[in-house]
Amino acid sequence: MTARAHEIRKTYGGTTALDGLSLDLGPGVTGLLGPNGAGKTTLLRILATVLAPDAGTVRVLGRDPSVASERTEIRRRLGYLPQEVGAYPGFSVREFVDYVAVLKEHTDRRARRHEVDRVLELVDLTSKAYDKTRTLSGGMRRRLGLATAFLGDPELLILDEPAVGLDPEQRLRFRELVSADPGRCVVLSTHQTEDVAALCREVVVVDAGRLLFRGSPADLAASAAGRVWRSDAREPGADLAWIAGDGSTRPIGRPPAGAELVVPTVEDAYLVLVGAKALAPVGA
Amino acid sequence: MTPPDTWHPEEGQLQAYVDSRPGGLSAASIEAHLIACRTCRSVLRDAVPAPRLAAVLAEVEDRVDLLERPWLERLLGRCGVTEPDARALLAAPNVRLAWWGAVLAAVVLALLVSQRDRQPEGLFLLLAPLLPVVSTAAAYAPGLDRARAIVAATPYPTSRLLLARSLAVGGTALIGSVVAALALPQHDLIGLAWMLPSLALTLLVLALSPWAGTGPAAASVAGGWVAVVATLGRRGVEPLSTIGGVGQLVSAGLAAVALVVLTNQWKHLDQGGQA
Repeated sequence: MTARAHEIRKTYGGTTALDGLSLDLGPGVTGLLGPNGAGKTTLLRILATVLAPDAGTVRVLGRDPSVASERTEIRRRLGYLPQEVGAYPGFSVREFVDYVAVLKEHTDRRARRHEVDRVLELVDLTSKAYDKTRTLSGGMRRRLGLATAFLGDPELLILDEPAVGLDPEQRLRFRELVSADPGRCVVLSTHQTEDVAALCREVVVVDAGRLLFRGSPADLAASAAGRVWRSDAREPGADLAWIAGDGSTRPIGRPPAGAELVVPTVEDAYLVLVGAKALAPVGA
Repeated sequence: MTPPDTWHPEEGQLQAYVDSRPGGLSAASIEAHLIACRTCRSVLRDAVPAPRLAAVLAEVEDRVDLLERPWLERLLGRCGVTEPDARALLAAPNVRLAWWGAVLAAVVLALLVSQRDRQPEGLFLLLAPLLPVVSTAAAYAPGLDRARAIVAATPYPTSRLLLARSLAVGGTALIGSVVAALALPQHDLIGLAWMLPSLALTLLVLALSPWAGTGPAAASVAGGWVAVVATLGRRGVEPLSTIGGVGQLVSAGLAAVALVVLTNQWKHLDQGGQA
């Protein structure tokens, strides 16, 4: 296993972010789904070694992050994209990536220069290398954060909402980038179920700091079989319903007699699991 | 562009230039010619082995790279500070801001003290120990360091970051306050005796930061100091007595406790301390 969390708990004041969650992560891309406040970011921060759990044990890349020397060793081998990518506004894109590379112990200047060029090329920011970071759009800033995460070709990539702000073309490029090495362990949180369906070997659904589901995207979709149907109007008995692109209503819940059941998607299954909380606006 | 009626170096001369890159007039004339003559540049390109060309380019890049580094970073490098330490220290705009703020505050303090007729020592005693406290907090507070979330997951330890920034900014504030003390009408003990309380307060802020966050810790400690000095002043205690023998002992004890707590908190600073 590349990373393992066992019975971890974390509270902030009186709020429980993680409530005895256990999880094993191996090679391949694992998608973390959950409504806002589910504990995704806290879990990723703990795996990235920047936050210690209040209780429970964590092993990352075979080491214990609570031990300073082992934590440093883990950090040498992981790439982390935080939810908020803050960059110094007076730095150029290249200067900022170079700064992070220095702190990641890329001490040889020539090798570092090539490495910075490589990651900028990976995220398609070469043409912006000498632009100030303050001039970047939200999507570009995300790609800048991705560039720093890819420094040193890490064995473990922890990405907190990496696809936010990326345009469709960049999202495809991102999927290609993240899935290029099947031996690498990638764990990413997202609100976009289509990314999970397209990219992930495994999907993990968390809510209120607990694990609700773990399995393949196909298993997740299959878990909602018999609970999603099509209707011409809103069904009063449905748990959730929304208008689909073709104008029909797509209710979720116990189907009424004679309902036309449809093959559920990953998104349907996620909504079945999490319920109305999942429809809350992102960032709420 | 190839000037038609001009001198061209012989191939042997070009090869010698490539092999040994001589200095002097001969090299200068070849270089001047190469700038204008596409034919000779093409001859030269074929004559230079690819690894050699790559090495020359890398050398050029090294020089450009060196020139691009800020002068202060180069200066620190010459003083033996490692590149990661220098970068960690100088990169964040809030550290530079805190540093300049400390310098400015020291100047303002000196002006205030020098122009005060009544009890300038009291004013100095109230404000001088707070300078390192406030500037250290401003240099380190993660809310002011935009890149902190990314930097936190690098192998560069947060505790080292804290120490480097505290020493740079807090040290500057300390020196500034020493200079400001020269503005006091009498250069007696008070010019030095505030240092231990100041050190204790700064260490206290750093020790409290993992629990309370740097900003609230600095505000609480500064507020506490002001309350103590004001209360003693109202009771008619002379400023010098506040930091006299008992004051020094209390400060030393406080500094020692804060240092022990801070040492034990290194782990938390590095892993999710609110600092």
